[in-house]
Amino acid sequence: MTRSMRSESSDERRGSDPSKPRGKSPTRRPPIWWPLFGLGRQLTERRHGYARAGSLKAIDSLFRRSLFVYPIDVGNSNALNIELAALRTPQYNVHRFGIFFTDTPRHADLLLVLGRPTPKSSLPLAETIDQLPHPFGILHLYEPFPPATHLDEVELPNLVGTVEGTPSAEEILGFLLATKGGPGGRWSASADSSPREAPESNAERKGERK
Amino acid sequence: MSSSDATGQRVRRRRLLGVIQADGDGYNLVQEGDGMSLEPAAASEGGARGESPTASVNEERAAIGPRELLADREGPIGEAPVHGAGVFDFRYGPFAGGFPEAGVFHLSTYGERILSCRIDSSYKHRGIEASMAGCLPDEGLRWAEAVCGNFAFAHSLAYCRAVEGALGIEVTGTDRRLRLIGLEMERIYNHLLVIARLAQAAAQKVLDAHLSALFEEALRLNRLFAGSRLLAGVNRIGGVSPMIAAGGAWAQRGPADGRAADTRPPDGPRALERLAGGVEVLRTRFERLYETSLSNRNYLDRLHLIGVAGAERALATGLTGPSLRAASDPTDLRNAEELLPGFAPITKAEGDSLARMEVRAEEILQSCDIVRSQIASLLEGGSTGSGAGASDRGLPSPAAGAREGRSEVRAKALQAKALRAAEGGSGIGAAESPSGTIAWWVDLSEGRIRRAYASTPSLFGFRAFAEVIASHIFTDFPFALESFGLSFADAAR
Repeated sequence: MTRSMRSESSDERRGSDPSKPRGKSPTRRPPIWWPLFGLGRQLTERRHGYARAGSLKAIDSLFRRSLFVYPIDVGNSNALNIELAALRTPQYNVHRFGIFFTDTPRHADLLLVLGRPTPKSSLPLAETIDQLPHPFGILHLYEPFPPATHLDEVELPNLVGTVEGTPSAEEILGFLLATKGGPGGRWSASADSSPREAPESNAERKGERK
Repeated sequence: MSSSDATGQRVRRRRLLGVIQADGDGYNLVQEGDGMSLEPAAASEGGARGESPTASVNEERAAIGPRELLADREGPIGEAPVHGAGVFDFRYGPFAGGFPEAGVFHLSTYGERILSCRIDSSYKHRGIEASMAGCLPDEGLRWAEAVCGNFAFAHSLAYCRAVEGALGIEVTGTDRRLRLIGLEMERIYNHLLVIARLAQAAAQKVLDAHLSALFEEALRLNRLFAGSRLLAGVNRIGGVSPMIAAGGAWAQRGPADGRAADTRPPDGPRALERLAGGVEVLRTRFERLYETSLSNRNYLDRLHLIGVAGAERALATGLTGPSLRAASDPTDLRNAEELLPGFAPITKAEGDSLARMEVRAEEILQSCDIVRSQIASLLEGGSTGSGAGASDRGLPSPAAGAREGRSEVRAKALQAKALRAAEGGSGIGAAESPSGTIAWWVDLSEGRIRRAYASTPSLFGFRAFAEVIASHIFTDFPFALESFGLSFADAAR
């Protein structure tokens, strides 16, 4: 109750003017020094993308602190590439989770396959998978449309998950955090994280405390 | 060519943007000035091919364009490989780290200098046009959006215009304004991404970080406007989705947006006000970044005189969009838009990567102004487009129970009527995508698509890139490539 009241009053203090765009930072002030506040609460890890993370496995406990991702486009409509480009922006700051993108599969822990493979890209995809050092994982994101029939032709070993749809950058971040080994890194219970429930939104959290 | 364009006159050349084989006959899709038309092959050939023209066809009627490329769009794009002492084929792709999409650049080189370039975009060929045969127009809309994700709005708009032209469906002024807003929102985020990539290639990490942040902000503004970060599912046959018209997208923002879900009821005008405010902030921030970047010689020198595509080459390769406007040609499909009365296309003269970057940067500012002025017109409640009078008075008020949306109901009624009448017909629709003209030709019969053809700007862009990259060194490759703003998905369909 106290927290939601405080957030509402801080809204009024800032003058919630609808014509002004919302600021980048949350509108409520943390009760303690912000870095300590954030570290313990793991706001990003608990908030994003876990609605679908139940079906995603972690690769290995090795990658809790750092994950090198090699994205490969095998035939998507460029929408997934754009969302991935959006993930590499300061708003998400994926480096703080130890998530890095590589230019070569030989340095990669996770192969991020984007799109349904077209006939011509099946062979280069297989060659790329051969170049991945062990242990590795493969995460397959593909768009629901247009429906192509080449999914069964390509065998993806160490598949940690397949996601159909065009996820936003935040959801992709959630998937990557899931494949890293759960939300907390060393705070998670086990490497193969059991499916978490969908995290509550800020609004729901406020409502519970009312 | 009217070489008198030194006087600044609009160049009225007829430009070949597509070659369609239908029922055993060849047709040419031709852009003349700001309009498109489909004509039998014989009418627009003649002088260009060296064949003896008929009496009624003269030099000026010949449409300029890459005819051989358009005759075989699935084949390789570009120049034949060069052979010589020490020259080898450097195959860059299909999964090269530098370019996000799958495609191969076959570079003939002896080491540092690129002698010729041949591009293979077939890794992204999904056969979309062929798959559209037999579909209903609504289903075809999903295919059209699937051609290229970052041009999804422009593709769907051109496709909808084609179908609306074929079925004789009128679009209300309100929906036309919303479509203009969506088109400019797409232009803003694409141009921001292109300039961010150029800055990244030039190792301007601070500028790249700021521009990337603006790009992400633009995607969030897209979600505010349309409920979709990449503006998918906005257009419908006959208008826009009713959710957007009623501002419902604003209320359906969830916590995935990164902000607390707002509990205020959906309110159409308020969503657009917030969008206008966000676009104004984006414009101010980008203007400051752009002006600062112009004083950075480290950055500008990497772009200057790279990939020069002058007016002659631009026309011969079929370039459109900012790449053409950077070569002094003011062709822009928005010139003919009656809801943009004071529109003036932005042109530069040099035709190099720097000019293309400048055109895109100034177009970002122009698009922000267009979005804000269109929102202002919508909020005032007046729309001067053609169509019925009283029903065009701006947005439907929430209290009027406009969940269905008048435009949607009308479009559905018209379409149902057209389908019942087993109507056919064909139409051409075009839209100015961030990288050039997208034109769709749709041939309907008995209410279903019989044939569809898409003319996409990236095909011509890759053709132009393959020509201009010759005689450059490897280091200049990303500056030439990214400045065109191309997509393999768009080129290969």
